[in-house]
Amino acid sequence: MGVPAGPQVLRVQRLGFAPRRIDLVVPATGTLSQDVGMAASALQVAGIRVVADPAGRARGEAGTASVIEREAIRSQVAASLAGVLELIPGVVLQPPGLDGIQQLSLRASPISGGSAILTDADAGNLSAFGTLLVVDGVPLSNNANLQSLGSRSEVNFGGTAGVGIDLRRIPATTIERVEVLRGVPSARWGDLTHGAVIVDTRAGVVEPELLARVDARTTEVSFVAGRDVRTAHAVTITSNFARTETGGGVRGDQSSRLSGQLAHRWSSDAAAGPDARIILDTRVDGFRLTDDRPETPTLPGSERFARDAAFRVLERAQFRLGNVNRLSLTAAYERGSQGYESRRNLVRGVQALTTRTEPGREIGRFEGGIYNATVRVDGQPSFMYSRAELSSAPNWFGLAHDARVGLELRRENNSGAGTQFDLLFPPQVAVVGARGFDRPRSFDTLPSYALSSAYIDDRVSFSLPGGSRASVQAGLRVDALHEPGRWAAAPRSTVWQPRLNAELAVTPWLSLRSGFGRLAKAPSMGSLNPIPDYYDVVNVNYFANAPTERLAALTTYILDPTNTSLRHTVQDRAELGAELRAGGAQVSLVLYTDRLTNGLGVQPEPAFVLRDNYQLSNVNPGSGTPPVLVEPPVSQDSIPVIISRAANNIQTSGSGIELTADLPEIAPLRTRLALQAAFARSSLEQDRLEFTSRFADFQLLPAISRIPYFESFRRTGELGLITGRLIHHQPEIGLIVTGTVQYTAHEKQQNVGDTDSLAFAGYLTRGGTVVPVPRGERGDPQYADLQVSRGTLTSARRGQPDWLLSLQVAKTLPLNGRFSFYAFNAFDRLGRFGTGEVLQRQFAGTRFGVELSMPLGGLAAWR
Amino acid sequence: MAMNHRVAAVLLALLMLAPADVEGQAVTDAPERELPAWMTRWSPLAETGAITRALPTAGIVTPMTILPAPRVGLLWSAGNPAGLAWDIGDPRLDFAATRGNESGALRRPLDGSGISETRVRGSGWRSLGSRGRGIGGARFGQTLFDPGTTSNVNAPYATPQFVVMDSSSSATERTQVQLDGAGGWSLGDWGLGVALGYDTRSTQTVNAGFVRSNRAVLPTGSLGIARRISESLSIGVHSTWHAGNETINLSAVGAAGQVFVWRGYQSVPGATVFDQPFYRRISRDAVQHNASLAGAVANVQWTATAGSVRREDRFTAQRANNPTSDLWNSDGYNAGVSLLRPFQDDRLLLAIDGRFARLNGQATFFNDSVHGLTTEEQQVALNSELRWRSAVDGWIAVAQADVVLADRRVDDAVAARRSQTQGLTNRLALDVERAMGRGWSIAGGAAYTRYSGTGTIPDPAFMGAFYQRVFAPELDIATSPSSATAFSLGARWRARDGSLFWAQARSESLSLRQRLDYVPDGARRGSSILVGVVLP
Repeated sequence: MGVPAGPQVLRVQRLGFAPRRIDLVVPATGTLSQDVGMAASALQVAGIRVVADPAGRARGEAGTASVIEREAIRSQVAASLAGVLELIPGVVLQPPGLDGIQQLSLRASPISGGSAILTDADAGNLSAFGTLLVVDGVPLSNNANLQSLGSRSEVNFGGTAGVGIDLRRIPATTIERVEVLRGVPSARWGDLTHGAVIVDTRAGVVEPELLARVDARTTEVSFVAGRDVRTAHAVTITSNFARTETGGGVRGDQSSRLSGQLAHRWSSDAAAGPDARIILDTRVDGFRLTDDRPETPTLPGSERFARDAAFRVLERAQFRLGNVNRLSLTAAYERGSQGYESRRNLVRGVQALTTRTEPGREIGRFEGGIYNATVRVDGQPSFMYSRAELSSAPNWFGLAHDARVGLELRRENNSGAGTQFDLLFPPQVAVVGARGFDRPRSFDTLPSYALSSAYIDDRVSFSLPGGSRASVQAGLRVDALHEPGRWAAAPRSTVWQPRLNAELAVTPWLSLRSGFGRLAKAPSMGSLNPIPDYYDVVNVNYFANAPTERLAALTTYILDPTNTSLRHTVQDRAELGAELRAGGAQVSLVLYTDRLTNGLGVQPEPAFVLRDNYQLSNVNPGSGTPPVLVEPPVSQDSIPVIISRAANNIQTSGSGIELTADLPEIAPLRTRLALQAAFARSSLEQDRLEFTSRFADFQLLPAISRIPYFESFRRTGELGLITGRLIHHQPEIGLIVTGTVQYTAHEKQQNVGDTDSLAFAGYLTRGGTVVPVPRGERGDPQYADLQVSRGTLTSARRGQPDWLLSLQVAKTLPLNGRFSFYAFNAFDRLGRFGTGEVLQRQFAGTRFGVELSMPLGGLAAWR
Repeated sequence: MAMNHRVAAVLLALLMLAPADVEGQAVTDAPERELPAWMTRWSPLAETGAITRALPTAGIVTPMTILPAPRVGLLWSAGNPAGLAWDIGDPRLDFAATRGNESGALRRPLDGSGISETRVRGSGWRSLGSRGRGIGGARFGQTLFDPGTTSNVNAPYATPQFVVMDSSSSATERTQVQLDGAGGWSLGDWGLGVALGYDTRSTQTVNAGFVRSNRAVLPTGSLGIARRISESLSIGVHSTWHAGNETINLSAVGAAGQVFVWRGYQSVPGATVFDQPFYRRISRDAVQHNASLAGAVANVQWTATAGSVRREDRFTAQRANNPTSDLWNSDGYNAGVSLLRPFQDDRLLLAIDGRFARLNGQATFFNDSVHGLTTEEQQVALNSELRWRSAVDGWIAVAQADVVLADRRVDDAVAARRSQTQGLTNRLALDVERAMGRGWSIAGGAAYTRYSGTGTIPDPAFMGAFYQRVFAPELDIATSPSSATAFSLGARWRARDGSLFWAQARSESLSLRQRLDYVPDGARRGSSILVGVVLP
């Protein structure tokens, strides 16, 4: 085998035996022999790795990555991909289960809270939105998810619109390998700002295995089997069902997941493995994820349900063209079905309402009292993806190259009934507010969303004088967001993204790395097609005792918050790293910094609507008839409003250090330590106007002629997490015990901005005019009414250092079975209660359970 | 091997089809009754610093004839993990599953009423390299209490005198996992051992309007060192550390309820749980130190051990970083002697084990420092086992005789009440197994326990309703005669590779031998089906 010199990984697989993974250093010349012992269970093999590879590389990638192999996934006892990702630095441990939406926020620290009346962006959500998730070579997309009611609604449900994909949809038991690209990904990957998670599901020949897991809240059953069918075909089935009681025993809430996949591979020459002339991979998979919060006897009328389901089919064809070229064609289509419903009792005073959905004036009606507001959102997102990639591994100018050039096309859409509710019983009581209110909206009319990309990428490795080796991966990618629906249409936003990673293996035991590049993420469909702002201005509000004598007239305005110049979010990042392999230890240290610009946020845009005031005639109490509105209006005044316009107005910056160390086994104790430490600093600024909570008064009371506005402040956060895994392994008895201690060494959140009564930047008039006030004049008496406290800034809040321990035990059973026990927060530590300037950090209570897996291959000949 | 699978399938089917009835928890707390004391004494999970008051039982539920012969040594008799390297010989691995049920009017107020449970356990020991030995086990159980118990705490009848109960009788489900393991290594004449244990349980009302949840963790560990003075004498010391947290949450979801937090014999008014949830957290730390001697004289193996224990339980209602707490402090000492004498080329074996424990406890309330609530407990236990194996016709018989004398005094100066109870428990048990050919054998067993109690307790007739409802029944039972009987019938199959598959049906009952004023008439009955496999 012609293997490049230097550190390499030898992977050995054989049906019925646990795969082995052996780190080797291949000499520049000569032959290397390696004996490989295999056992039925990985627990019986010395050197089993149950953590992410600290110095691993994703396939075809030179940037910083965490590679998590099957045995580490299996030992993690996770319900979903999120649990597996706890093996990477900087991820907070969570109890295993389907509790709540699960996201990955790469290299982001929680930041301080913000505005009193505006929805805040969050560094974690931005990171989750900007993290690409790729399953079996094809990205998953959440861009077209519109399952949101917006911040105006007083009836809500959880959802992932505008953030990352809910990781609960991917069961851990069906994953073969995970690569997390934390650094600068190659140009092959796009539509991301914070990194990528590359997931390979189990496929090929897999001995049938049944797995059952139970804890006090979660039940999970999985089945995996794969076999050859004749010589050229391999078929694999994976299925999973999981259910978690999420109400903590107090409510009957539960989340459940049903997923399955059928994988087929046809190879023109199965014996040649990946070098076959033609390989066709087909995957058909689907999932259904539900979150149910049924009503309780003490809170009748409140319940919510969420149903997410999707079906995906993908085809990947690989053609070997000669000895060094390969053409890969990928096509995938995913169709989702999302149905969320929520209802809640709301109380309103008697108020004038209109059911009008077009601009104009209409006679309204009066409603008041308690009502059960029900809102439902039905969407059917679809995602079409295709890629053509030509890869080549030539030897040009005496250097080994690994080059790729590719073209990607994506198209996303959403349809369905959309947001539905009764206009007389809306999910919002405060219909006269600063930010308008909602109307039902169908998704059928929304335009599709087309993106195209092209990339070129080359990796070259060469030796340097003195015996050191260097590797450089450079690439360029261009992503284009097209005008609605058509790839042929001119792009409305285009981002060129150069990326470079370089590695210098100074010695066989020391490598230095660096990388920098630009990443870009297209806006979400929700940002491109925001919910219109409706304003129902009350022109007449005559509320007589007799219902038949009442009269309400309202004028409906529709303000469109669409931003036609919305464009990609861009992140520039750079990192430096070093890797050390010595004495069986592997240590990786990475320093990184990144800056995100054009982040998706909301720009509060001051405006006003006009209110016509009318006189009434025939006002006769007791007559049984309403008065008559007299045209034309006698006067007109303005009502200040804020249009919540989507905007690229967020900037974040992040920096940090990641240390990953896998130390050699202490042989007498058969114990090894794997250490991860991450310090992340995040800050976020949003270029927007901000107001105090008195804005609603300003809107309604003409006597208030102006209101102060403030410039956005900087929200910051720092988090230092150290995660140590003490792994005790007894191969003779097939036992492995892992104690995971996560120590929160540092946590700080702070709003950085002016706090005094002269912090205002100017004022807003009733006509919607923004008037800046120079800093030197803000203390003048003429601005006394503007000199108010901002109300949202506080001093720095710090978290107390604290730790929690999780425990995992795995043991072989007769017939190659396996028993696992896990206890999250095994000591049931409570964490810290928040007081004043101390951040609250309460740990979830102990969660424990057992898992039993049993191979079924012995029941029949399996091949 | 195919035959082994068929037998395993039959045993599994038996388990699935078994009537959901048998051995019981009121009659006992099940996990502690699965194996004889000498097999679990090494485990750091063994209770430390508290004496649990159980209703009289008819002994362990696992058939004695499938268990290994009793052993004596630093590990088995004193619980010192350093003795592992010397006390363990042939490897053993066994798995067992139990499906059981229990019901009946006879119970103490804080015991569960109707109980059904499923338990699975596995345990074993073997060598680890040339110098080391390992032992360990795992137990998983799910128990449904329906009707449920009113107790909010996992051990309402133990030494600490702080107990939380509520007005709920909703069905309750408990999931419990216990793991323990120890490793011991010999370094010349020195032995070094470490043992770790972890017990966790989660208890939750089922479909209740008044919701109760309890989660508890108990991490433990012990460290021991031993030295062989000569071929016939070893000495060792070991220390065991226990920590634990038990968290109780009550909330009214569909119905309000009342909660009672009592300390000693004080009558407490119920507090209504409606809009504010109720919270209690109990944290504990305990340390036990033991010194032991083991040796052999004239074909008699013996072990002697003595030690001291100190424990503190903290009870708090505050969700705060440094909450104020009520304290319960216990300290005491223990001693024990074990003897083992084989006869007739090891076909006849006599094992005798004697134990003494004394424990004093006292309360310190968070709002004052009055030590007005104290307990004094003493317990003497003498256990003997005679095990006989026929040389020719395949008979195995195991007989056990136990005597336990317990004395308990509670002095509650705050409530101005005190009690003194003495209980004498005598137990006889016999298990017999007869080989039938082709690896099959049948087995049967019977056990009888007679309990006699005396004492001085506050006359319930002059006490309030709370005392009559909560304390009087337990004290009544503790000072009255009762008896428990058990019968079992089972089958075994030994495969050629040495594997042993077994199944057993067992029934047990407990009844009072006189009518009591504050205890419901009736008995308590349980039944169980057990299946298991022992691998060589």
